[in-house]
Amino acid sequence: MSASGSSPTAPSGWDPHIRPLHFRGVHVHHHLRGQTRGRLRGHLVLVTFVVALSVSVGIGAVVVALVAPGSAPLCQPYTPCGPATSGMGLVSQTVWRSSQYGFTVEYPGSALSASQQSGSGLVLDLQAGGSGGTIVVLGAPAAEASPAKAITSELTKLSGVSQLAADTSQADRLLGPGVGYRSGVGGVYTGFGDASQGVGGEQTIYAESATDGRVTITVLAIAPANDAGPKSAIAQAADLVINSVRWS
Amino acid sequence: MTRRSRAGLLIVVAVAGLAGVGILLASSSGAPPRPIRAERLLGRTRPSTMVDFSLVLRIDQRQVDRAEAELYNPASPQYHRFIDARTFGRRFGISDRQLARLRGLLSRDGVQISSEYPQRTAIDVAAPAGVVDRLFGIRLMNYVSRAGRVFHAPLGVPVVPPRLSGSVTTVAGLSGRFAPRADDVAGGGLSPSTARTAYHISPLYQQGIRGQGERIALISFAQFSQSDLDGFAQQYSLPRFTPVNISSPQDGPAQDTSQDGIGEADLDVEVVHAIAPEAQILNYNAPQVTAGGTDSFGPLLDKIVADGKANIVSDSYGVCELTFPSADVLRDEHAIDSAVLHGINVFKSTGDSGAYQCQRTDSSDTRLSVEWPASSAGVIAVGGTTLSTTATGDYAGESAWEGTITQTGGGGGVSALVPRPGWQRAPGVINQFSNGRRQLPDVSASANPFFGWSTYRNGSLQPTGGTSAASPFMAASMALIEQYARQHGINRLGFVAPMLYQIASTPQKLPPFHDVTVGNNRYYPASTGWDFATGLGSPDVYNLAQDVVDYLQAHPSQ
Repeated sequence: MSASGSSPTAPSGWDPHIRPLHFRGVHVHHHLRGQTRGRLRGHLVLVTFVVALSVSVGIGAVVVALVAPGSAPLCQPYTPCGPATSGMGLVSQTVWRSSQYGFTVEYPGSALSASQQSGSGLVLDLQAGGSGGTIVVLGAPAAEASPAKAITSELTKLSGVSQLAADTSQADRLLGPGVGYRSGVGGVYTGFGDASQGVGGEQTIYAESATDGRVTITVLAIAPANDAGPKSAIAQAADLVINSVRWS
Repeated sequence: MTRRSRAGLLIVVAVAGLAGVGILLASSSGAPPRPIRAERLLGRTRPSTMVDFSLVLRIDQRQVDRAEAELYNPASPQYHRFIDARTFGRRFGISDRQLARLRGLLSRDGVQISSEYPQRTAIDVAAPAGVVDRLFGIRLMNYVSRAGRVFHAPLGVPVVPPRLSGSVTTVAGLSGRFAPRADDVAGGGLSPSTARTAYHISPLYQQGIRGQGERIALISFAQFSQSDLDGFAQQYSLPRFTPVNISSPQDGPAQDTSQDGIGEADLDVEVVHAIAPEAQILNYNAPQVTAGGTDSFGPLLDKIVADGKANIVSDSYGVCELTFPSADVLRDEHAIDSAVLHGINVFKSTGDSGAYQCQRTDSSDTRLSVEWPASSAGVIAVGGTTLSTTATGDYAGESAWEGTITQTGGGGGVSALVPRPGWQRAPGVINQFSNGRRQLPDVSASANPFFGWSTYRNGSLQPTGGTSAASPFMAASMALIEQYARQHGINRLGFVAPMLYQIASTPQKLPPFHDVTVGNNRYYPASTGWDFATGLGSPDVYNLAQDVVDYLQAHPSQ
């Protein structure tokens, strides 16, 4: 199917060799009429009026032609058209930038607060309920850690969680893991939190990691396994954080 | 290519596409459904237990397909000559004599007729389980689901006895295993005014277009709360409203009064009211599954078509397409056919589990899958996005909705049952995942629950998301577009899916959709043009309204 034109088109019947009518009319009137001064003066007024009117109409026509929707270039399917959107991030988000690797992370300040941060990453705690859950975002040079290695490395570094084991249940499998819209790897793990007297409650740890070839970014989300409220909240927040990562 | 030859090609493609439905359905008929884990057999259904089900009547599918293709082909003399329910029944259904004979046979067999429809797509009936077993050569058994719901389902595939087979093609609704699920998720909140600003609805409002004269039908399996609706209207300075309740003639009103059920019903109604506050809402409701187990979508849609009161419908409930019995698919498809020929638009949410819709029913089912009836070629499938706005509510961008940890995302993928309709053509439609089957979604809108829609529940504002919100949003937006079109001398839009794809595929004065190119739906990536994560994209409603008017003025009804 052909496009009906991407530039302004002339109206049908238009002949560029014909001079505009209002100019011809003025000259005709000026030469054939005006036998007396009074009549001439009257004619001059009339002619001036006609010229002014014609110019106004002409300018108006040009303006209308320029702004008329039909004359504007048509928007081609799936190509930018019209004013560009600002590309701003989500409102009410706190933006954190890694000084070491340059990537950014957005998180809802109303739900999460940063409890630790360094040049390579930060730790976010779920505000509701205190010990409700934690999200860890960490960058590392890609040359030193593939996504799979980075997950293993970060899991072993987790303090306060012991007896880590992979959750191999098909129902819990992470499908389509990635970080910042880059495909990666991921998995679900279980462990037990440390308590003042022995082993604490069971924890679920979600881990996803991806790389752009320069930096590998890993996100861990840790939530109480058997407390549906914080677990659901941390899962939702972790999804947001994972998708908010912008690679520098 | 000339207009006429293009039109001819459109007919050929559309007829070829639509005609394939029957072939695929027939091939899937009788295939044993994938067992759902953790359901427990209780024993045989007591022979005296009354069972509700539907008899799917013969329709002339080839003629229906041809009529659909002509109805939406601007070059056809039948273009936009909509067919009401009675005419549909007379032209494509069984004859008066066959219907009278069928009534007599059923009566002799001990089967009671609960509902008939003028379009003669199906009749809803009830009979004791013992009669059903004998008549169709099955044995109904009772089960209890993992969630504790008791239902019956047949052992064996029902066979229509020869004395009925001249009028009846199959028996639907004998299995209560596959209850439709609402596509909503609790989460964030988008106010009506922000939604109107972000999706460019405000210019229509400024022109006084707020849904006056429009009727939007909602398919609901739960009761809304009037006090919640009052609170919503008051909170956002919208007119007070009360939807008109229209219950299923066969099964009575919706009985789900759970918090989740009310939440879904409130969400649908409130989102419609947020976008089109002057539109009348018709709440067609029924039990989610009947006492006997029948899915209520087909009967409710048949009633909507028969009533002929609304041109726009939204449905936010769905089932896993891979496990839904083929007889039930056919029962729904007949109802959808009559809606398409009537010029009715059914907006259907695509589900909230991304590319894995069957995972909602069985969390270990990780097959790529889509929801039924979103995968029907006679509905507009609405997927989900994560919407970004500026501080003033202006549109700032959108990504495909995906939550890998929460196992959520906008439904989208390839149907296993339905061929790709001839009208589903736009840049990006044919890609590495295409296989000749129906692709969804068609369009999408804000669904991520964290930034979802603000709803009023139990005395306070509570945010809810999911494609359950995106579908009524699209329905209400289309009602505004229909009203705008009427002001420009266009009486009806008809089934808009072919037009939306045409508009998306050809140069327009104004871009009708925000092309979403970022994100995934747990499998399929968003990309330039149509994609499996977000379809054509989300609407710029005012631009789309103007493009629709231009299109319909260029393709007037004859």
